[in-house]
Amino acid sequence: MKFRYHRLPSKVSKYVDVPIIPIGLKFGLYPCLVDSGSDYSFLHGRIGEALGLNVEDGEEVEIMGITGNKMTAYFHKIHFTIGGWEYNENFGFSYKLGTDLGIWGRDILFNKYKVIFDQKKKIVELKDYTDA
Amino acid sequence: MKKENIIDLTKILKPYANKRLWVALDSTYSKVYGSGETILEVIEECKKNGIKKPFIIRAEENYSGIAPSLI
Repeated sequence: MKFRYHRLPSKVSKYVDVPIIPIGLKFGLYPCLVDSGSDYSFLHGRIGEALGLNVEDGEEVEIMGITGNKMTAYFHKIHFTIGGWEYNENFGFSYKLGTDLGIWGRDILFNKYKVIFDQKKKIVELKDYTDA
Repeated sequence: MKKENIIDLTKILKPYANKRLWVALDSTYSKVYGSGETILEVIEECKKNGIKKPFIIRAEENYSGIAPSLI
């Protein structure tokens, strides 16, 4: 499966091109940034509410970003799709995320697929590990 | 000229970015189904209009800095 990068507004350089793979949720598609540096996958608490979750009832975990700032995330198992394929996995929901974009960490996407970034073609590709 | 692969959302999100509104787009990212101050408003608007799989994003003026970058 191939996904095109998204070009989004930036105050630094007019725009920024980012690898985004939309997650299919019950209300529609939602943009998630592919972040190989993140141990876990996250969505903002607001998205959890939109899914009907009582966000703070999830498993509470303290997490730390690259800046050293700590935040609390609440993990819930949710049903979602990637390119039409269905999954049930844990996502961390936090009200302290610095972005409303979701984050694909290594726990889900990278465990399920070989993730190939083609920065020149602005494509991120997901391949089965069984593929040669 | 070589066609770019990119999904360019800069223009379509611009009218909504200064108020940081939530925006629902169609699958070609070229049509706005609805916008609102909360994601729940936008989901409801889509449901009311029979739209099943909108792409929903919060419009921002600046998406840089999600991962470390210049500020």
